[in-house]
Amino acid sequence: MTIVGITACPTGIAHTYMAAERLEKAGKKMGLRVKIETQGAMGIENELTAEDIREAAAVIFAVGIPVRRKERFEGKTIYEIGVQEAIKNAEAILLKIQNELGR
Amino acid sequence: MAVEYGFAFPLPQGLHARPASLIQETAARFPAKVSWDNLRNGNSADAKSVLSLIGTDTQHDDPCRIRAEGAAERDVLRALRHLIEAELPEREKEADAGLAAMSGKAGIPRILLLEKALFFQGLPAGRGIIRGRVTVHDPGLEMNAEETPPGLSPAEEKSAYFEAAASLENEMRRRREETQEKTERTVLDAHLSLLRDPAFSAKVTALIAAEGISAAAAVSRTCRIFGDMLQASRSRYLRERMADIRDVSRQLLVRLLGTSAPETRIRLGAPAILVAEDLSPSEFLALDKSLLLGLGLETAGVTSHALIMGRARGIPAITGCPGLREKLRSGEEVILDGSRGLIIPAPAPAVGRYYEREMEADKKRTAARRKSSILPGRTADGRAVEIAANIGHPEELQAAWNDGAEGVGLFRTEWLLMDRPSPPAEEEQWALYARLAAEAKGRPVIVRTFDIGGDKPISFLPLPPESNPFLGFRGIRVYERFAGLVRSQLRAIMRAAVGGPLKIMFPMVSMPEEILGMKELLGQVREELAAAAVPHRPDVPVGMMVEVPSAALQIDRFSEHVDFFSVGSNDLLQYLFAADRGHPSLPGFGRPHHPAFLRLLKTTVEAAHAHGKWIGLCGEAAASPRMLPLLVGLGFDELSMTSSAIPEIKSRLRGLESAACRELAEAAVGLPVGRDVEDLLDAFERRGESGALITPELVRIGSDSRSKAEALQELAVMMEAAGRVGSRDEIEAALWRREDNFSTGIGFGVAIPHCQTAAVRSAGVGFVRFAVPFGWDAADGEAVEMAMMLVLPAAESNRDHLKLLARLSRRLVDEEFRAELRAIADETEAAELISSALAE
Repeated sequence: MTIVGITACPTGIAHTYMAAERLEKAGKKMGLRVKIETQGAMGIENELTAEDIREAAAVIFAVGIPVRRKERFEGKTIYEIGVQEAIKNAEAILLKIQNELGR
Repeated sequence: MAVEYGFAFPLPQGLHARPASLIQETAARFPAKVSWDNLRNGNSADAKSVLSLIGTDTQHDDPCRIRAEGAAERDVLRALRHLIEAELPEREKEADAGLAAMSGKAGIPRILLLEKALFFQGLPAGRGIIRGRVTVHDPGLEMNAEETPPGLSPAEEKSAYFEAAASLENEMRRRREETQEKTERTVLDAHLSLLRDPAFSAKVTALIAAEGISAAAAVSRTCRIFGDMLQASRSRYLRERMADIRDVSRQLLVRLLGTSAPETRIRLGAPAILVAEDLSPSEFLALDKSLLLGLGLETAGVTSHALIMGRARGIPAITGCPGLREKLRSGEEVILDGSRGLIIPAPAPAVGRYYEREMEADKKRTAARRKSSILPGRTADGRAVEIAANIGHPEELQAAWNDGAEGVGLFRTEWLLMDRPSPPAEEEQWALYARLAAEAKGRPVIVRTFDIGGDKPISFLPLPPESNPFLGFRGIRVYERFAGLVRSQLRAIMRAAVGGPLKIMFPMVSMPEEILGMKELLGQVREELAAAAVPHRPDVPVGMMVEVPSAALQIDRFSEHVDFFSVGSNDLLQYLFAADRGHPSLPGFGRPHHPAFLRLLKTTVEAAHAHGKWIGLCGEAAASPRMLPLLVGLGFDELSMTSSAIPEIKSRLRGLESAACRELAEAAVGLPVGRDVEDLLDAFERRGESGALITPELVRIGSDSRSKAEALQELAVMMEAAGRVGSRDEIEAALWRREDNFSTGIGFGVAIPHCQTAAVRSAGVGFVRFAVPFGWDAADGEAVEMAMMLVLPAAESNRDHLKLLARLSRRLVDEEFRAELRAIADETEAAELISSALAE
């Protein structure tokens, strides 16, 4: 299963990347393919392609500010959480999504 | 019938002088009698007296009551209520904002603001930090007058007092009308309100009546009584009010006694920080220096002789701090920070700890400076570049030698002419230059002849003020008119040169004719001395400053007449670009790395060398580590600078290869704009780096820092010791600015303080693990176990900064990585671990 996501915190310096790291690591541990786009002070990095998004079973927005180019995710199941939450409970969040999607 | 208004006092700092004077002003607008009762301590006051209001010792949240009785009692109560509830808190916020504006700047350690410490700021006048007790030197008119016996009956003494007060009030009013200066008016207003303060005159007259003492003694006692009351406070405003009370009392006493203060000798009974208005050189010399810990002066110039002598002895000092004598009391303990120009009375424990750590860092810094000061001025491949000092007094020689100066590249003499009614005699000058020659112990000393002009008024020389003194009658241009003065200087130097290698240098030369005129004068002087059989050195080398572009372009012509050159880079820059160095709207003009300037320097040095002449440089650029490779590459034989810059310049010089510097200078001269040279210098600076962001000296395991303030101090000091930053104060201030913006505590017991500023020479990462975790943002906040700091130079693109921070953040959320950081016991291993984590 593939899950994609976006992390973005207000200053875009530390927490954006911490959250991305946590989600990616947790996914790896759980055997999921997790790709996170960071929208930080350096702009958009590790950008999600149309293909990434099409294949994703779910989308996570771990953000403290509005997501840029949100229109890419129209029609997808989106889980919106806080950045801190992603940093603290990345595994629990992925587990919950997994359960909700029934797989 | 009286009316009342009860409230809790709203200001966090209590009822100090500023709000008290606002309350007094408001109350005084109405005829009703107004009283202020503090219900916590039972103190009462007349609300129309500032002193009496302050005397109620009203603190934040104290229950208070204002009672008004008489005409317009309701109006006055309404006005006061509005003042206390609405206006005062607003006004205090404004005042606090003023204080906060200071906090982003380097030079005021943040701990002082965090601890709300009382401190006074002057000018740094002697490096170093000292903690000790104060001895206030004060002619003390108001103290001595306490003994004045009464000459008259109490009633007559009273009227003498009222007469003196009225006459003083009249004079103050007159001065207030006359002055256009806003701050002067404010001061006069404050003095007038004190003079009219009913509590003050009530106290004076009560003392005369009750004790039958003289008016002078009563004023003196009253001053002391109110003074003690105010001075017990840690509030800055009250201490300043104290200065006002003493000032007014003194002026009253002058009127009552008709005398001025008797001079008293300064005596130190125990080790002390001397606080005085000014200090004459003889007073300084008479002091027992073994007891002199530091100096806090009010009005002395930074370059006054007492302070020059103090610096030479390494005595921490500040000056330019008016009212210091009134704000401090003898016996009181203070920290004097001579490096930043601060004096901190009654330091709180956290402030004391911060400064203990500062003193420790200072000690290490001095030791490191000593080490590099003894290096010879040579590049890595052995090319000699003489590193010399710019000084203004023989007293500075010792400090210059201690800093590692190999000579004096610029000895200024114009101060000899200032602040005196007549020119110095040849003998006086001779004694000074002879001392210079003797104490140089064989090292070369370049004596620059009087550099005077319209911007430096000299009482006995008719130099009319000019609209543009920098393009006017100055330097060598005035010598023909004041030939007698110049002759005395040349005679004195030639005579003194018998005792050591003195050289003569003329300032502000722009045409060969000027030098020819001086050579003629030198010839006459030589003949006179020989004819009179006065011992002298006839062949004293003669040189000139190159600070006017026309001089730089005629080096070949000048080479026929002079033995050496020294570029005055500050003036040459401003004349070349036609831009005042300090002009606020022209910050980008006149930068020493601009290709146009480098091109001029290149042709100047090449021309001098082509004619076999020695050429040095004695402006600010000489002290710039960034300019150093360019100046070496251009081929200067000597660089002369303020002596405190010497150890660093010497150690930098040791790291440079002369061939690489030449290539750098060649390349820089050919670039189109200043920005390109900046980039070239950045690349050059980075070239020599190992690339290691973190080394073991940037790691501390088991740090004793107990707060954010101490942690940032520790990290900044570490970076400085590792040579990665120029001004560690600037780094600390930059780290704080970042923290103010958004705290860098990222959770997981980790903080990542960081900054990007021009004070950073090469990017670095520092790591500190604390022995005892503490709250990063508040004492009870989430505890931080370790801090990872990142500093980046301003020149680097922001992106590099952000990338490193992003990488660090990603690594730090990894529990395993944190566990490793927590467990690691060895600083070298920690540096390796972090290095490899950053490289991934």
